[in-house]
Amino acid sequence: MKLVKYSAIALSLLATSGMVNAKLNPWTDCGIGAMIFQETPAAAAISNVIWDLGTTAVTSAGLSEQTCEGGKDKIAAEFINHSYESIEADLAKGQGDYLAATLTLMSCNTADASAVRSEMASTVASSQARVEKAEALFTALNTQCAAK
Amino acid sequence: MRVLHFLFLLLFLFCKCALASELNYEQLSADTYWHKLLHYKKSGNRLKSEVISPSFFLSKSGHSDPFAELKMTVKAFLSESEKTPNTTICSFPARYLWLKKQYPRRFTHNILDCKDYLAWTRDNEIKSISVILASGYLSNPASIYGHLLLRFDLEHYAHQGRNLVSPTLNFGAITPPDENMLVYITKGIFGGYEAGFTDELFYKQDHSYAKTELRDLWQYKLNLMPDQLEQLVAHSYELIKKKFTYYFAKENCAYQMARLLQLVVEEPLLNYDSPFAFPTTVFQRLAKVDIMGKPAVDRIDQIPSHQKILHRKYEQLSLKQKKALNQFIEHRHNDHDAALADFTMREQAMVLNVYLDYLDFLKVKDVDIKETKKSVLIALFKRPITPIDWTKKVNDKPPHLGQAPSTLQINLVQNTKIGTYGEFRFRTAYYDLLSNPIGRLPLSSLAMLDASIAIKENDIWIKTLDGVNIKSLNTSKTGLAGDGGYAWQIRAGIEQQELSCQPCNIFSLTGGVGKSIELSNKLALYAMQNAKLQSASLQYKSFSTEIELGAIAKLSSYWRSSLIYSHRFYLHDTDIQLTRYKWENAIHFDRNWEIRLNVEKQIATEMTASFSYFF
Repeated sequence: MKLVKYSAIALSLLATSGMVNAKLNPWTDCGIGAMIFQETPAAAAISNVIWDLGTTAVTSAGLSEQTCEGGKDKIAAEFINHSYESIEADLAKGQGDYLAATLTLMSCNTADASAVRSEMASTVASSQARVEKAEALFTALNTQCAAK
Repeated sequence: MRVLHFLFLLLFLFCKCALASELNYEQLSADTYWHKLLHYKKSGNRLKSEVISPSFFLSKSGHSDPFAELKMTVKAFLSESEKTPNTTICSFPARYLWLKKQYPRRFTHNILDCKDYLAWTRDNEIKSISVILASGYLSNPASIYGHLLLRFDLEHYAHQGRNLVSPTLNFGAITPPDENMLVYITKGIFGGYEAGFTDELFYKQDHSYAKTELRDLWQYKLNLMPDQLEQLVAHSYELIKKKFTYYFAKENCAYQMARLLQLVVEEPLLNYDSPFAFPTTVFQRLAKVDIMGKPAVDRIDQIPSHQKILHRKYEQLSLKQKKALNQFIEHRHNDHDAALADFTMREQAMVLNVYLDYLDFLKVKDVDIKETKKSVLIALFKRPITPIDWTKKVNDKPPHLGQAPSTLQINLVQNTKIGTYGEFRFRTAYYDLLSNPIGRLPLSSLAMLDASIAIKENDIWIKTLDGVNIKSLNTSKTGLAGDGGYAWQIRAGIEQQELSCQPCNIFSLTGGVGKSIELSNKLALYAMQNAKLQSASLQYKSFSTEIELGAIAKLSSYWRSSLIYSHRFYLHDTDIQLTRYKWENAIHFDRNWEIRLNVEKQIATEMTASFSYFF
């Protein structure tokens, strides 16, 4: 009976830990990868407002939940996807506002940024598409910072 | 005993007030705060809301009847007695806060129990509000005078003050994606568009304004008590996606953001009787006024444009570093290691940093930099992290210290043909090449609705009337390819054909393009080729072409001078030519006052002494 009891506890712990570790991948789970990154040409910006229900609905949610409905991971992923060039440049330079914001969003520190630098060096050098590079950065930081 | 009776009476009255179940609708609906919440504006003797979305009103007559709207609002708020707030409360948290403040026993819900509202406030993490000015942008008629944003600052995400992931409120016209520019301007001026508030995270605005359109952003952090912060956050939430009618000149971003801020700022942030509303006026007034006895602005920070950051970093390179950078740019070669071998690791990092910033700057100008940028990134990744303390930061004076947008000018003129006369000038907006440079685009002029009337004894005549007059020298600060561009100008209006006659007005359209060079931060030169279309007058016909040469000098911190020469040829008869020389001096002895002394020669010679007041 004890064995059954312990097995049940172990199974329950495993299941719980599995649930905790099953982190959301916003690229695949929330459709970030399917988003088209729109660069704003300087001369084409004639309106000051983006009247886009979808975009605003995504950003109008909290930073606390780990869900696609505006969860922290999704906000971090959107930030990286939108600002990839700025973050990549900051990472190469080793400093900058965009890198600092990424680290805060991902609950990482500057040592984490240094740790993913070599991995990102090969990603940057590769012929991957922009969205893939952004996802690689998100994954590298997620893995690095979760491993602490 | 009498004292005891009196105390009982006081206590009774106090309890009666606190427990009052009947709201004083007459008094509440006449309250100016209620009118502010509903965005009412006086239209004759009546009130009318500027919000045109029916969903903003609970009563059918709510857009013009504060009493009916209050009745329906209270009814809806009190309609459900559940523990959690109902949908109306959650849609109008600012209205609820206001009523709760006055009747705390009737309105007992906590607006933070509204799930969507709590999410929008980032779990109540908004700790301050910054009003943000994006500097003027000549490529977009709607942003020519600047743009205004409201950012809800999450302290935890403030990185060097940039607060990139803070929610930010924007107001603007809702326009079709590929609107024709003429249609856009016409509809913008005459109310042909709806407009609204939207929210985005700040990094999207930073990307659009500072990195793509290369505009400075100025953050004015407000000095708010928690109660005022809560009111502004709640009311901003109510306004998201509510529609207004857009008018470029007045009911624009400056006007609507100012109206929103008036919820907590008593003194007017604009002259609401004026037909024009300029973003800088809001900042000039914010810097002067108080909120509950404290200065309205707590601190001011600049987010320089990407181009300005590039300029400032480039200045800090040594000549040798600049030479290496120029070679990279010229030859686009990827062998950075060999070219940088003579430099220390820090010096190498500085060159590569500026090169990377430069390539990002070129990308904005649609230059293909993909492979070059990749090679620079790889070069930086190969090197150890070398953080650089760029000692010289961009440190401009904040825009509220600049001159006010409109000008009144009185001139005394001595003309060799006409004699002595007086001149009265009114310019709706904004500045010219010699104006006080604070808070405006350098080496540019921007004038709209600029009229000069001359008076001599019994004669009065229009001397000039410019609808629009814009000039941008577009100089390069670094000399690097792509930094700077063509100088250009456009002008449409009425002007004198010759200085020697009155009245001899023509209607003209002028456009010009050329090049400029900034020899130092005290002297710029330009040359332009202009084309002119005008109404025929005297012996002059419609088409002419003109060469224009100019020099703009900063002679001291308060004295600026320009010398302009132009020579015009008429196409129907090239013997008909007009040559003009103009030497103009501006002395700024105060940000609201200016003196000008000009000499101009074009057939006649004219000397002018001017006294200007900016407001």
